[in-house]
Amino acid sequence: MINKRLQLVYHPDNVSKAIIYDLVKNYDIVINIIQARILPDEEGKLVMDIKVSKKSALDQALKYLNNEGIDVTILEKSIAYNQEACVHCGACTGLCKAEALIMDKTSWELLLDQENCLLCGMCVSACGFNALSLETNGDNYV
Amino acid sequence: MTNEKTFSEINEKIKKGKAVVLTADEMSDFVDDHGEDKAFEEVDVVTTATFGAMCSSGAFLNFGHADPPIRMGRVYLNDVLAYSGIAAVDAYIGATEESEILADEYGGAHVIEDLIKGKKVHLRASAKGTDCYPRKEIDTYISLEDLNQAYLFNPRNCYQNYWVAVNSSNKIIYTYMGPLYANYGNASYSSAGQLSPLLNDPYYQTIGIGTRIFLGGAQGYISWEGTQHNPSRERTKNGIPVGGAGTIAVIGDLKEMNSNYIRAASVTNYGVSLYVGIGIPIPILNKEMVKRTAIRDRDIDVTVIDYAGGSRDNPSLGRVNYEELRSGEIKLPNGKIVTTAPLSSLNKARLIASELKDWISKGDFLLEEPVQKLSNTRKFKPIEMKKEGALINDK
Ligand code: SF4
Ligand code: SF4
Repeated sequence: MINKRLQLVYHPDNVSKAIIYDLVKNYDIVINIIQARILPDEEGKLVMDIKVSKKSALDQALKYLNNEGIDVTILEKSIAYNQEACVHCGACTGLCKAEALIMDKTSWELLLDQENCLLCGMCVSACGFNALSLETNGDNYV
Repeated sequence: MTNEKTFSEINEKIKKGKAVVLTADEMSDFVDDHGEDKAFEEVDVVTTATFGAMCSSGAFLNFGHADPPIRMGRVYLNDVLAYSGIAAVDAYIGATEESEILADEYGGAHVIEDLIKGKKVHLRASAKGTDCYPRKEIDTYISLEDLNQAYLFNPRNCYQNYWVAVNSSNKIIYTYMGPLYANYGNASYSSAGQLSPLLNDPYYQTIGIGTRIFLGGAQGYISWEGTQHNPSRERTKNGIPVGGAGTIAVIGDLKEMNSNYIRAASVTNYGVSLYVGIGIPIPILNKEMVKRTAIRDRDIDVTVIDYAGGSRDNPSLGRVNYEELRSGEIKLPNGKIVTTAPLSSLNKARLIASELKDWISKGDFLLEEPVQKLSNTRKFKPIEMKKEGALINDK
Protein backbone atom coordinates (compact mmCIF):
# COMPACT_ATOMS: atom_id res chain seq x y z
CA MET A 1 0.00 0.00 0.00
CA ILE A 2 1.38 3.42 -0.92
CA ASN A 3 0.44 6.46 1.18
CA LYS A 4 0.90 9.95 -0.18
CA ARG A 5 -0.28 13.41 0.67
CA LEU A 6 -1.18 15.42 -2.42
CA GLN A 7 -1.97 19.05 -2.99
CA LEU A 8 -4.17 19.73 -6.03
CA VAL A 9 -4.58 23.17 -7.50
CA TYR A 10 -7.58 23.62 -9.80
CA HIS A 11 -7.94 26.35 -12.35
CA PRO A 12 -11.21 28.18 -13.07
CA ASP A 13 -11.83 26.03 -16.15
CA ASN A 14 -11.46 22.64 -14.45
CA VAL A 15 -13.06 23.36 -11.08
CA SER A 16 -16.32 21.82 -12.17
CA LYS A 17 -14.87 18.45 -13.20
CA ALA A 18 -15.62 15.35 -11.12
CA ILE A 19 -11.96 14.65 -10.45
CA ILE A 20 -12.34 12.90 -7.10
CA TYR A 21 -15.03 10.60 -8.44
CA ASP A 22 -12.74 9.57 -11.28
CA LEU A 23 -9.82 8.95 -8.94
CA VAL A 24 -11.88 6.66 -6.75
CA LYS A 25 -13.71 4.87 -9.52
CA ASN A 26 -11.09 4.51 -12.24
CA TYR A 27 -7.90 4.28 -10.22
CA ASP A 28 -9.14 2.58 -7.05
CA ILE A 29 -7.69 5.24 -4.78
CA VAL A 30 -8.79 5.67 -1.17
CA ILE A 31 -9.08 9.36 -0.39
CA ASN A 32 -9.09 11.31 2.83
CA ILE A 33 -9.55 15.04 2.29
CA ILE A 34 -7.53 17.15 4.71
CA GLN A 35 -8.24 20.62 3.42
CA ALA A 36 -10.37 21.95 0.59
CA ARG A 37 -11.24 25.34 -0.81
CA ILE A 38 -12.93 25.12 -4.16
CA LEU A 39 -15.29 27.79 -5.44
CA PRO A 40 -17.10 27.77 -8.80
CA ASP A 41 -15.19 29.64 -11.54
CA GLU A 42 -12.25 30.37 -9.28
CA GLU A 43 -8.93 28.78 -8.50
CA GLY A 44 -9.28 25.98 -5.92
CA LYS A 45 -6.96 24.06 -3.62
CA LEU A 46 -7.34 20.64 -2.13
CA VAL A 47 -5.02 18.69 0.18
CA MET A 48 -5.68 14.99 0.61
CA ASP A 49 -4.09 11.78 1.82
CA ILE A 50 -4.40 8.94 -0.64
CA LYS A 51 -3.90 5.21 -0.39
CA VAL A 52 -3.26 3.19 -3.49
CA SER A 53 -2.25 -0.44 -3.84
CA LYS A 54 0.30 -0.25 -6.65
CA LYS A 55 2.86 2.24 -7.89
CA SER A 56 1.52 1.82 -11.45
CA ALA A 57 -1.97 2.86 -10.37
CA LEU A 58 -0.52 5.92 -8.64
CA ASP A 59 1.42 6.87 -11.76
CA GLN A 60 -1.65 6.54 -13.93
CA ALA A 61 -3.71 8.64 -11.54
CA LEU A 62 -1.07 11.37 -11.47
CA LYS A 63 -0.97 11.32 -15.27
CA TYR A 64 -4.73 11.64 -15.41
CA LEU A 65 -4.66 14.69 -13.09
CA ASN A 66 -1.95 16.23 -15.21
CA ASN A 67 -3.96 15.74 -18.39
CA GLU A 68 -6.93 17.38 -16.74
CA GLY A 69 -4.81 20.48 -16.18
CA ILE A 70 -4.51 20.17 -12.42
CA ASP A 71 -1.25 21.13 -10.71
CA VAL A 72 -0.25 18.31 -8.37
CA THR A 73 2.30 18.59 -5.61
CA ILE A 74 3.33 15.53 -3.64
CA LEU A 75 3.82 16.68 -0.06
CA GLU A 76 6.46 14.77 1.86
CA LYS A 77 6.37 15.14 5.61
CA SER A 78 9.49 14.44 7.55
CA ILE A 79 11.23 15.19 10.80
CA ALA A 80 13.84 17.86 10.25
CA TYR A 81 16.89 17.58 12.49
CA ASN A 82 19.19 20.52 13.07
CA GLN A 83 22.41 18.99 14.32
CA GLU A 84 23.93 22.40 15.11
CA ALA A 85 21.19 23.10 17.62
CA CYS A 86 21.28 19.63 19.18
CA VAL A 87 23.14 19.18 22.47
CA HIS A 88 22.68 15.39 22.47
CA CYS A 89 20.80 15.44 25.72
CA GLY A 90 18.56 12.56 24.69
CA ALA A 91 15.29 14.01 26.00
CA CYS A 92 13.55 13.35 22.69
CA THR A 93 14.38 9.63 22.75
CA GLY A 94 12.11 8.98 25.72
CA LEU A 95 9.12 10.26 23.79
CA CYS A 96 9.81 8.40 20.55
CA LYS A 97 8.01 5.09 20.71
CA ALA A 98 8.92 4.27 17.10
CA GLU A 99 12.65 4.04 17.86
CA ALA A 100 13.31 6.59 15.16
CA LEU A 101 15.36 8.55 17.70
CA ILE A 102 17.85 6.64 19.78
CA MET A 103 21.06 7.41 21.64
CA ASP A 104 24.25 5.78 20.44
CA LYS A 105 25.26 3.92 23.60
CA THR A 106 28.97 4.48 23.00
CA SER A 107 29.23 8.09 21.90
CA TRP A 108 25.93 9.20 23.50
CA GLU A 109 25.06 11.09 20.35
CA LEU A 110 21.56 11.24 18.96
CA LEU A 111 20.79 9.00 15.99
CA LEU A 112 17.77 9.65 13.76
CA ASP A 113 16.31 6.98 11.52
CA GLN A 114 13.68 8.64 9.30
CA GLU A 115 12.48 5.24 8.07
CA ASN A 116 11.04 4.39 11.48
CA CYS A 117 9.43 7.78 12.05
CA LEU A 118 5.64 7.83 12.38
CA LEU A 119 5.49 11.64 12.25
CA CYS A 120 3.72 11.76 15.60
CA GLY A 121 5.52 14.98 16.53
CA MET A 122 6.12 14.09 20.19
CA CYS A 123 9.87 14.59 19.95
CA VAL A 124 9.29 18.17 18.79
CA SER A 125 7.73 19.02 22.13
CA ALA A 126 10.48 17.18 24.03
CA CYS A 127 13.34 19.18 22.52
CA GLY A 128 14.07 22.44 24.29
CA PHE A 129 16.54 23.52 21.62
CA ASN A 130 14.29 23.56 18.54
CA ALA A 131 16.54 20.92 17.01
CA LEU A 132 13.57 18.88 15.77
CA SER A 133 10.61 20.03 13.70
CA LEU A 134 7.94 18.47 11.54
CA GLU A 135 8.38 19.70 8.01
CA THR A 136 6.32 19.37 4.90
CA ASN A 137 8.25 19.57 1.66
CA GLY A 138 6.53 19.72 -1.65
CA ASP A 139 7.73 18.06 -4.86
CA ASN A 140 5.93 19.24 -7.94
CA TYR A 141 4.63 16.45 -10.14
CA VAL A 142 4.93 17.34 -13.79
CA MET B 1 55.82 8.08 48.81
CA THR B 2 53.65 9.50 51.58
CA ASN B 3 49.95 8.84 51.94
CA GLU B 4 48.97 12.41 51.20
CA LYS B 5 49.59 14.84 48.37
CA THR B 6 48.91 18.57 48.68
CA PHE B 7 47.32 21.06 46.30
CA SER B 8 50.62 22.88 45.97
CA GLU B 9 52.57 19.71 45.15
CA ILE B 10 50.07 18.90 42.45
CA ASN B 11 50.16 22.47 41.15
CA GLU B 12 53.98 22.30 40.91
CA LYS B 13 53.59 19.24 38.67
CA ILE B 14 50.91 20.99 36.59
CA LYS B 15 53.20 24.00 36.07
CA LYS B 16 55.97 21.70 34.85
CA GLY B 17 53.55 19.96 32.51
CA LYS B 18 54.12 16.71 34.43
CA ALA B 19 50.77 16.16 36.14
CA VAL B 20 48.90 12.99 35.26
CA VAL B 21 45.29 13.89 34.61
CA LEU B 22 42.47 11.43 33.87
CA THR B 23 38.76 11.95 33.35
CA ALA B 24 36.49 10.27 35.90
CA ASP B 25 35.58 7.67 33.26
CA GLU B 26 39.24 6.88 32.67
CA MET B 27 39.95 6.80 36.40
CA SER B 28 37.39 4.01 36.94
CA ASP B 29 39.12 1.92 34.26
CA PHE B 30 42.58 2.73 35.59
CA VAL B 31 41.70 1.59 39.10
CA ASP B 32 40.10 -1.60 37.74
CA ASP B 33 43.21 -2.37 35.69
CA HIS B 34 45.99 -1.31 38.05
CA GLY B 35 44.51 -1.10 41.54
CA GLU B 36 44.12 1.74 44.01
CA ASP B 37 47.76 1.94 45.17
CA LYS B 38 49.10 2.41 41.68
CA ALA B 39 46.34 4.92 40.91
CA PHE B 40 47.30 6.97 43.97
CA GLU B 41 50.96 6.91 42.97
CA GLU B 42 50.39 7.86 39.37
CA VAL B 43 47.29 9.99 39.07
CA ASP B 44 47.28 13.60 40.25
CA VAL B 45 43.95 14.99 39.07
CA VAL B 46 40.62 13.52 37.95
CA THR B 47 38.31 15.72 35.88
CA THR B 48 34.54 15.52 36.32
CA ALA B 49 31.80 17.29 34.39
CA THR B 50 28.13 17.78 33.74
CA PHE B 51 26.00 19.56 31.13
CA GLY B 52 22.37 19.93 32.10
CA ALA B 53 19.45 22.21 32.82
CA MET B 54 20.31 24.56 35.65
CA CYS B 55 17.35 26.88 36.14
CA SER B 56 18.90 28.77 39.01
CA SER B 57 21.24 30.80 36.82
CA GLY B 58 21.65 34.37 35.64
CA ALA B 59 24.11 37.14 34.90
CA PHE B 60 25.04 40.51 36.37
CA LEU B 61 25.54 43.19 33.74
CA ASN B 62 26.82 46.74 33.93
CA PHE B 63 25.75 48.93 31.01
CA GLY B 64 27.80 52.07 31.66
CA HIS B 65 26.32 55.59 31.84
CA ALA B 66 24.45 57.54 29.19
CA ASP B 67 24.55 61.35 29.00
CA PRO B 68 22.43 62.63 30.64
CA PRO B 69 22.60 59.62 32.94
CA ILE B 70 19.75 57.38 34.02
CA ARG B 71 19.11 55.46 37.21
CA MET B 72 17.39 52.51 35.60
CA GLY B 73 14.11 51.42 37.16
CA ARG B 74 12.65 48.76 34.91
CA VAL B 75 15.09 47.15 32.50
CA TYR B 76 14.17 44.97 29.52
CA LEU B 77 16.61 42.98 27.41
CA ASN B 78 14.96 41.72 24.22
CA ASP B 79 11.66 42.19 26.08
CA VAL B 80 12.78 40.05 29.01
CA LEU B 81 12.61 41.82 32.37
CA ALA B 82 15.96 42.09 34.17
CA TYR B 83 16.16 42.91 37.87
CA SER B 84 17.56 46.38 38.37
CA GLY B 85 16.95 47.11 42.01
CA ILE B 86 20.74 47.40 42.34
CA ALA B 87 22.46 50.72 41.58
CA ALA B 88 21.91 52.89 38.52
CA VAL B 89 23.12 50.84 35.57
CA ASP B 90 23.53 47.34 37.02
CA ALA B 91 21.02 44.58 36.31
CA TYR B 92 20.65 40.87 36.88
CA ILE B 93 19.13 38.90 34.06
CA GLY B 94 17.65 35.67 35.43
CA ALA B 95 17.68 32.61 33.18
CA THR B 96 14.05 31.60 33.69
CA GLU B 97 12.44 35.04 33.20
CA GLU B 98 10.22 34.87 30.12
CA SER B 99 9.85 37.38 27.29
CA GLU B 100 6.79 39.60 27.58
CA ILE B 101 6.21 39.06 23.85
CA LEU B 102 7.39 35.53 23.05
CA ALA B 103 6.55 34.00 26.45
CA ASP B 104 8.31 30.66 27.04
CA GLU B 105 9.87 30.55 23.59
CA TYR B 106 12.46 33.13 24.65
CA GLY B 107 13.74 34.14 28.05
CA GLY B 108 16.65 35.29 30.15
CA ALA B 109 18.62 32.17 29.21
CA HIS B 110 18.30 33.10 25.55
CA VAL B 111 19.48 36.66 26.28
CA ILE B 112 22.55 35.18 27.97
CA GLU B 113 23.18 32.84 25.02
CA ASP B 114 22.72 35.68 22.52
CA LEU B 115 25.17 37.87 24.44
CA ILE B 116 27.75 35.05 24.48
CA LYS B 117 27.28 34.58 20.74
CA GLY B 118 28.11 38.28 20.25
CA LYS B 119 24.59 39.18 19.09
CA LYS B 120 23.07 42.63 19.59
CA VAL B 121 20.50 42.77 22.38
CA HIS B 122 17.75 45.40 22.62
CA LEU B 123 17.97 47.35 25.89
CA ARG B 124 15.00 49.37 27.11
CA ALA B 125 14.85 51.02 30.50
CA SER B 126 12.67 53.53 32.25
CA ALA B 127 13.27 55.56 35.39
CA LYS B 128 11.58 58.12 37.62
CA GLY B 129 14.36 60.67 37.04
CA THR B 130 16.31 62.43 39.80
CA ASP B 131 18.39 65.60 39.97
CA CYS B 132 21.57 63.63 39.47
CA TYR B 133 20.06 61.07 37.06
CA PRO B 134 17.60 63.18 35.03
CA ARG B 135 17.05 60.77 32.10
CA LYS B 136 13.77 58.89 32.22
CA GLU B 137 14.11 56.53 29.30
CA ILE B 138 16.69 54.71 27.29
CA ASP B 139 16.26 52.61 24.16
CA THR B 140 19.36 51.21 22.52
CA TYR B 141 21.25 48.09 21.52
CA ILE B 142 24.07 46.48 23.47
CA SER B 143 26.42 43.60 22.85
CA LEU B 144 28.72 41.70 25.19
CA GLU B 145 31.78 43.76 24.28
CA ASP B 146 29.95 47.02 25.11
CA LEU B 147 29.27 45.91 28.67
CA ASN B 148 31.72 46.86 31.41
CA GLN B 149 31.15 43.72 33.42
CA ALA B 150 29.10 40.70 32.46
CA TYR B 151 29.41 37.71 34.72
CA LEU B 152 27.37 34.65 35.27
CA PHE B 153 26.34 34.23 38.88
CA ASN B 154 24.33 31.06 39.32
CA PRO B 155 22.85 30.52 42.77
CA ARG B 156 22.29 26.79 42.36
CA ASN B 157 24.06 24.55 39.87
CA CYS B 158 25.52 21.11 39.60
CA TYR B 159 23.08 19.13 41.74
CA GLN B 160 24.72 16.16 43.39
CA ASN B 161 22.47 13.43 41.98
CA TYR B 162 18.82 14.14 41.18
CA TRP B 163 15.62 12.14 40.67
CA VAL B 164 14.15 9.84 38.08
CA ALA B 165 10.73 11.11 36.97
CA VAL B 166 7.77 8.94 35.95
CA ASN B 167 4.02 9.52 35.69
CA SER B 168 1.55 6.99 37.07
CA SER B 169 -1.56 8.95 36.05
CA ASN B 170 -3.67 8.28 32.98
CA LYS B 171 -2.75 11.48 31.16
CA ILE B 172 0.47 12.96 29.84
CA ILE B 173 2.02 15.63 32.06
CA TYR B 174 4.56 18.31 31.13
CA THR B 175 7.21 18.84 33.77
CA TYR B 176 10.67 20.35 34.15
CA MET B 177 11.80 16.74 33.61
CA GLY B 178 10.20 16.92 30.14
CA PRO B 179 6.90 15.41 28.97
CA LEU B 180 6.00 12.25 30.88
CA TYR B 181 3.65 9.81 29.17
CA ALA B 182 0.72 8.37 31.11
CA ASN B 183 0.95 4.99 32.85
CA TYR B 184 4.73 4.96 33.29
CA GLY B 185 5.24 5.47 29.54
CA ASN B 186 8.76 6.85 30.02
CA ALA B 187 11.23 7.82 32.72
CA SER B 188 13.62 10.74 32.58
CA TYR B 189 16.77 11.28 34.59
CA SER B 190 19.27 14.10 34.76
CA SER B 191 22.81 13.41 35.93
CA ALA B 192 26.15 12.60 34.36
CA GLY B 193 26.37 9.73 36.89
CA GLN B 194 29.95 8.53 37.35
CA LEU B 195 31.24 11.66 35.59
CA SER B 196 29.22 14.08 37.73
CA PRO B 197 31.36 16.38 39.94
CA LEU B 198 29.75 16.08 43.37
CA LEU B 199 29.22 12.33 42.99
CA ASN B 200 33.00 11.96 42.75
CA ASP B 201 33.53 13.89 45.98
CA PRO B 202 30.37 13.08 47.90
CA TYR B 203 31.48 14.64 51.21
CA TYR B 204 32.98 17.77 49.59
CA GLN B 205 36.51 17.00 50.75
CA THR B 206 38.23 18.77 47.86
CA ILE B 207 35.42 20.81 46.26
CA GLY B 208 34.48 23.95 48.18
CA ILE B 209 34.19 27.72 48.10
CA GLY B 210 37.03 29.12 45.98
CA THR B 211 37.51 26.01 43.83
CA ARG B 212 38.49 26.97 40.28
CA ILE B 213 36.22 25.27 37.76
CA PHE B 214 35.34 25.03 34.08
CA LEU B 215 32.20 27.12 33.61
CA GLY B 216 30.56 27.47 30.21
CA GLY B 217 33.91 27.20 28.43
CA ALA B 218 35.70 29.69 30.71
CA GLN B 219 37.55 29.43 34.00
CA GLY B 220 35.19 30.24 36.84
CA TYR B 221 34.86 29.67 40.56
CA ILE B 222 32.62 28.17 43.17
CA SER B 223 31.43 31.27 44.99
CA TRP B 224 29.27 29.82 47.76
CA GLU B 225 27.28 26.78 48.72
CA GLY B 226 24.33 26.55 46.34
CA THR B 227 20.78 27.35 47.35
CA GLN B 228 18.89 24.25 48.54
CA HIS B 229 22.27 22.63 49.37
CA ASN B 230 21.14 19.54 51.22
CA PRO B 231 23.99 17.32 52.37
CA SER B 232 21.62 15.63 54.85
CA ARG B 233 19.88 13.66 52.12
CA GLU B 234 19.86 9.93 52.88
CA ARG B 235 22.99 8.25 51.54
CA THR B 236 23.88 4.70 50.54
CA LYS B 237 26.86 2.94 52.20
CA ASN B 238 29.32 4.42 49.71
CA GLY B 239 28.29 7.95 50.72
CA ILE B 240 26.18 8.63 47.64
CA PRO B 241 22.98 10.59 48.31
CA VAL B 242 19.93 8.89 46.77
CA GLY B 243 18.42 12.10 45.36
CA GLY B 244 19.09 15.82 44.99
CA ALA B 245 21.62 16.78 47.69
CA GLY B 246 24.64 19.10 47.52
CA THR B 247 24.68 22.12 45.22
CA ILE B 248 27.10 24.93 44.43
CA ALA B 249 26.82 28.60 43.49
CA VAL B 250 29.20 29.49 40.67
CA ILE B 251 30.62 32.62 39.10
CA GLY B 252 32.47 33.27 35.85
CA ASP B 253 33.11 35.84 33.14
CA LEU B 254 30.48 35.75 30.38
CA LYS B 255 32.96 37.43 28.05
CA GLU B 256 35.12 34.32 28.04
CA MET B 257 32.33 31.79 27.62
CA ASN B 258 31.47 29.73 24.59
CA SER B 259 27.95 28.83 23.50
CA ASN B 260 29.06 25.24 22.89
CA TYR B 261 29.02 24.83 26.65
CA ILE B 262 26.12 27.01 27.72
CA ARG B 263 22.76 26.95 25.97
CA ALA B 264 19.23 28.24 26.44
CA ALA B 265 16.32 25.82 26.37
CA SER B 266 12.52 26.12 26.24
CA VAL B 267 10.85 23.24 28.00
CA THR B 268 7.35 22.65 26.59
CA ASN B 269 4.54 23.78 28.89
CA TYR B 270 7.06 24.53 31.59
CA GLY B 271 9.32 27.41 30.69
CA VAL B 272 12.82 28.59 29.99
CA SER B 273 15.99 27.15 31.46
CA LEU B 274 19.72 27.41 30.94
CA TYR B 275 21.86 24.36 30.15
CA VAL B 276 25.22 24.97 31.81
CA GLY B 277 28.43 23.03 31.27
CA ILE B 278 30.52 22.65 34.41
CA GLY B 279 33.77 20.79 34.90
CA ILE B 280 35.47 20.35 38.27
CA PRO B 281 38.95 18.95 38.85
CA ILE B 282 39.43 16.65 41.82
CA PRO B 283 42.96 16.42 43.21
CA ILE B 284 43.92 12.89 44.22
CA LEU B 285 45.15 13.94 47.66
CA ASN B 286 44.88 10.49 49.23
CA LYS B 287 43.62 6.95 48.68
CA GLU B 288 40.14 7.93 49.75
CA MET B 289 39.88 10.23 46.73
CA VAL B 290 41.08 7.36 44.54
CA LYS B 291 38.18 5.28 45.76
CA ARG B 292 35.70 8.14 45.41
CA THR B 293 36.68 9.02 41.86
CA ALA B 294 36.72 5.38 40.73
CA ILE B 295 32.97 5.18 41.28
CA ARG B 296 30.86 3.63 38.51
CA ASP B 297 27.29 4.19 37.33
CA ARG B 298 26.26 0.87 38.89
CA ASP B 299 27.34 2.13 42.34
CA ILE B 300 25.17 5.25 42.15
CA ASP B 301 21.59 4.74 43.27
CA VAL B 302 18.83 7.23 42.57
CA THR B 303 15.22 7.44 43.68
CA VAL B 304 12.36 7.14 41.20
CA ILE B 305 9.65 9.72 41.86
CA ASP B 306 6.06 9.72 40.61
CA TYR B 307 5.40 13.26 39.35
CA ALA B 308 1.68 12.62 38.74
CA GLY B 309 0.49 14.29 41.92
CA GLY B 310 2.25 17.63 41.44
CA SER B 311 2.96 17.75 45.16
CA ARG B 312 6.04 18.78 47.14
CA ASP B 313 6.18 15.30 48.56
CA ASN B 314 5.65 13.28 45.38
CA PRO B 315 5.86 9.59 46.30
CA SER B 316 8.99 7.51 45.82
CA LEU B 317 8.73 4.31 43.81
CA GLY B 318 12.05 2.81 44.90
CA ARG B 319 15.59 3.06 43.60
CA VAL B 320 17.52 2.18 40.48
CA ASN B 321 21.14 2.85 39.51
CA TYR B 322 22.64 4.78 36.61
CA GLU B 323 23.89 1.68 34.82
CA GLU B 324 20.27 0.50 34.62
CA LEU B 325 19.11 3.95 33.53
CA ARG B 326 21.75 4.09 30.80
CA SER B 327 20.66 0.67 29.49
CA GLY B 328 17.47 2.32 28.23
CA GLU B 329 15.05 0.41 30.44
CA ILE B 330 14.39 0.07 34.16
CA LYS B 331 12.20 -2.27 36.14
CA LEU B 332 10.32 -0.57 38.93
CA PRO B 333 9.62 -2.40 42.19
CA ASN B 334 5.94 -2.47 41.14
CA GLY B 335 6.97 -4.65 38.18
CA LYS B 336 6.58 -1.98 35.49
CA ILE B 337 9.24 -1.94 32.78
CA VAL B 338 9.85 1.66 31.76
CA THR B 339 11.99 3.09 28.94
CA THR B 340 14.45 5.71 30.13
CA ALA B 341 15.92 8.82 28.56
CA PRO B 342 18.45 11.32 29.89
CA LEU B 343 17.88 15.07 30.03
CA SER B 344 21.45 16.12 30.60
CA SER B 345 23.98 15.49 27.87
CA LEU B 346 26.61 12.85 28.64
CA ASN B 347 28.17 13.59 25.27
CA LYS B 348 28.83 17.22 26.24
CA ALA B 349 29.84 16.29 29.80
CA ARG B 350 32.55 14.03 28.36
CA LEU B 351 33.75 16.81 26.05
CA ILE B 352 34.02 19.13 29.04
CA ALA B 353 35.89 16.57 31.17
CA SER B 354 38.43 16.07 28.37
CA GLU B 355 38.77 19.76 27.64
CA LEU B 356 39.45 20.45 31.33
CA LYS B 357 41.93 17.57 31.30
CA ASP B 358 43.73 19.24 28.37
CA TRP B 359 43.85 22.60 30.12
CA ILE B 360 45.39 21.07 33.23
CA SER B 361 47.80 18.82 31.33
CA LYS B 362 49.07 21.82 29.36
CA GLY B 363 49.55 23.87 32.52
CA ASP B 364 46.83 26.39 31.60
CA PHE B 365 44.65 25.64 34.62
CA LEU B 366 45.87 25.39 38.21
CA LEU B 367 43.94 23.88 41.09
CA GLU B 368 42.65 26.17 43.81
CA GLU B 369 42.35 24.91 47.36
CA PRO B 370 38.94 25.78 48.85
CA VAL B 371 39.02 28.75 51.20
CA GLN B 372 36.03 27.30 53.01
CA LYS B 373 34.36 23.90 52.94
CA LEU B 374 30.75 23.32 51.92
CA SER B 375 28.48 22.39 54.79
CA ASN B 376 28.16 18.68 55.47
CA THR B 377 25.28 19.05 57.88
CA ARG B 378 22.85 21.64 56.51
CA LYS B 379 19.21 20.59 56.20
CA PHE B 380 16.90 21.78 53.46
CA LYS B 381 13.70 23.11 54.99
CA PRO B 382 10.32 23.53 53.30
CA ILE B 383 8.40 26.79 53.56
CA GLU B 384 5.69 26.74 56.19
CA MET B 385 2.39 28.32 55.27
CA LYS B 386 1.63 30.66 58.11
CA LYS B 387 -1.89 31.52 56.98
CA GLU B 388 -4.64 29.13 56.05
CA GLY B 389 -5.90 28.68 52.53
CA ALA B 390 -2.76 28.36 50.43
CA LEU B 391 -1.46 25.26 48.66
CA ILE B 392 2.10 24.28 49.41
CA ASN B 393 3.82 23.82 46.11
CA ASP B 394 7.59 23.82 46.00
CA LYS B 395 10.00 22.41 43.46
S1 SF4 C 1 7.82 12.32 15.07
FE1 SF4 C 1 7.29 10.67 16.53
S2 SF4 C 1 8.03 8.82 15.54
FE2 SF4 C 1 8.99 10.51 14.45
S3 SF4 C 1 10.97 10.76 15.45
FE3 SF4 C 1 9.53 12.16 16.49
S4 SF4 C 1 8.74 10.99 18.23
FE4 SF4 C 1 9.70 9.51 16.83
S1 SF4 D 1 16.00 16.64 22.68
FE1 SF4 D 1 16.81 18.04 21.10
S2 SF4 D 1 18.86 18.57 21.84
FE2 SF4 D 1 18.22 16.76 23.00
S3 SF4 D 1 19.03 15.02 21.81
FE3 SF4 D 1 16.94 15.37 21.10
S4 SF4 D 1 17.19 16.73 19.33
FE4 SF4 D 1 19.10 16.82 20.47
